[in-house]
Amino acid sequence: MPPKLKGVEITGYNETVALLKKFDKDSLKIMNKEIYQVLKVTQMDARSQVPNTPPSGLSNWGKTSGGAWAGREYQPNGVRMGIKTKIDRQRVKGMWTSKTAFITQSDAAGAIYETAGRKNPHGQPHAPRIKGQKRGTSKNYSNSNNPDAGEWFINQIEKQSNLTVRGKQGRIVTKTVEDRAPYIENEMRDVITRATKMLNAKLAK
Amino acid sequence: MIKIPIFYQLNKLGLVNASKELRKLSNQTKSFGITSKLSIGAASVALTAYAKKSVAAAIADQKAQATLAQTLKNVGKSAATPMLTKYIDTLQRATGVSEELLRPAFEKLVRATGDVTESQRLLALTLDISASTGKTTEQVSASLAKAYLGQTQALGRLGIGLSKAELKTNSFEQITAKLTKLFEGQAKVAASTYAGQMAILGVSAQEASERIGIELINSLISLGGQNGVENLANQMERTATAVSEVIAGLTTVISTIKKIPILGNVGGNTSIIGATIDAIRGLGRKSIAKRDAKTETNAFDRGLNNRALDLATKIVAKKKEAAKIDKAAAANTKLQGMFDIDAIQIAAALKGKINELDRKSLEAMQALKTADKNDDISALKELEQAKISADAADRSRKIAALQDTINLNKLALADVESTLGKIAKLPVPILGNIGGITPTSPNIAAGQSPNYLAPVTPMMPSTNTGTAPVTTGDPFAAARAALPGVNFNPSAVAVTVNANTIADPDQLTRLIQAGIQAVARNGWSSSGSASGF
Repeated sequence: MPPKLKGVEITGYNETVALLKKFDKDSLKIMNKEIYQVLKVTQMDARSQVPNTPPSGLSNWGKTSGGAWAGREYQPNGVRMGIKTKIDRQRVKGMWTSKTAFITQSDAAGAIYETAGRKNPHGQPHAPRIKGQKRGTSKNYSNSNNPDAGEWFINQIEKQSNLTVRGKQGRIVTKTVEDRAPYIENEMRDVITRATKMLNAKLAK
Repeated sequence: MIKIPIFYQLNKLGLVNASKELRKLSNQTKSFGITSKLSIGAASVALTAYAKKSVAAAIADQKAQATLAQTLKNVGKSAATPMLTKYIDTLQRATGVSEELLRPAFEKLVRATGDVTESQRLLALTLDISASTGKTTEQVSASLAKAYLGQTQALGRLGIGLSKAELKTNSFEQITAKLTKLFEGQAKVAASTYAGQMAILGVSAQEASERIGIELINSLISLGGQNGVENLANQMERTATAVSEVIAGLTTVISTIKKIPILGNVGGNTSIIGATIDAIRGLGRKSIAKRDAKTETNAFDRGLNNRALDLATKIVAKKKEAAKIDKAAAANTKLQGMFDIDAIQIAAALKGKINELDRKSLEAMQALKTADKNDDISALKELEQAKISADAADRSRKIAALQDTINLNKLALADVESTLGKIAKLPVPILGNIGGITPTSPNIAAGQSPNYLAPVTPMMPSTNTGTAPVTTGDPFAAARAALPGVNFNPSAVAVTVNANTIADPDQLTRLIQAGIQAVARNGWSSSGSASGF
């Protein structure tokens, strides 16, 4: 039983690539360019979803600072440019493998914006610091002196994006992929069909 | 970093490889006999089946021996029975043909000939012919037996290289002499092949099986005591009850014995029961050996027989497996072929009359459908080669067509030149005046020739640069003679304009003359010119 993965499942891609590699490398180049276009459109769409400002009430998130948040400041351009595409393989649980086109968010602030509140919608449960210890030892527990900050943070992001995320959901990239799934499926089917036709035409010559 | 798949295609390659490995492992375990399916129960079932087979083989063998012995007795050769039994036994081991086949064949021959020596010779010939032609020993021996009795048609049907005339005219001795010459040594050669060697091993296995069966029967009979089988039948029923009771009792005894330290172990780990069983087995072995020594010496190695038996069993199992796999593969291929419309269409197209390039294209498409990648590469190479050849052929065809056009044009040019040459050599035709007009006008100046209005004679341009040909005599004499009613004298044609018109008579005359000239120049009919042009 094949596993169910996220994204659009397509068929015939690997076979088409293998055949084109063998018989028609020019058509393979064309096909790759067309696939790149499909990915590019999705990528641009995702980038356009990135807000230009940090959520209201989190204005300090957009400012450069040191400490724990160093390198995780919300810079709209950084978040936009962190959205990239790549074609790679992924090993699926068991014996299955898959050739997959990914859209990635490499920017830390972008990833936070994307996923904040998925696991703990009200922030991490609070475990007060033990007296005399610098930090708590319990993992997945907040030792913050401001226990409500996490919930506040999530709420502000939810307000701005109008999206509450749970499980594997996301606000920018994941949502874009989910919204565009029918378009991606159609486009990919067309790309593969065109490439197959080109190959057939070449072989029939 | 977050990675979200946009699209993906699952690849079963890992799964397929794993399945292959598992299958391989399963085959290996099977070959070592440690497959999980082979339980002790299955082994016992197999043993029972083998025992049954052995008994059946022993019974059949004994029956065939008895039949042959009876036949020999009937033909008065009963004294040869022991010798023949040994002969057939040796022959089957030498040729790999089972005694089950040899005995009936020999029986047929001895029944026909009534002579043991002649039958032996014919049996040897039968084996040679059978090995060479692939016909069964029974078929060949029956044909030879019939031929011995005078019916040679059966021999002809075997297709052994004897014509009808030969069969009719030659005597049996001559026929057999020729057959001996034709098929000599075939059985020996066949026996030396791998197939023959396997058949010999098969014979050994069969012999082993029969031997085991005989021992089983003997043991059962000996259990019956003095009255043999009759007692055995009664005893078997009682034995069944007794055995069940004994087994139940034995279990209790064994458990009790195990509790006794002295009897439970003899020496190290050997139990007293195991020692007892070993002792009984030893007695059995001695008994069998003693009986064998009394009857005849065992010419064949028992160990070899056992090994052959094992080998034969393994071969049969492997053959069955292979046949099963082949059958499944064939069915799969057939089914795929039945439902692969593309493949069918390609195959159908290949059968038609198509050019080489189309054929190669179709073959490439066919190669594409197979899993093998090597044929794809070769098909691609052939396709490219075919394209190059087709292009070259097309180019040469066009060049040939162009050459043809050039040649045609050259011929046409030569023809034109030749025609022009001929024209140049022709005499220049000079036409006389077409209708001179005698001016009546008094305005003609004095001294002016009255023929000044003579029509311009249409002249064909002359291409010859040399001297104009001189014509002697009247060139139109023949035409005039042919048309006696026509007046060819131009002077006879006179148009007199006497109309009292307001126009200038000279101008009118010039106009009429110009009209006549136009008619003459263009070759128009002069009849219509009267009513205007």
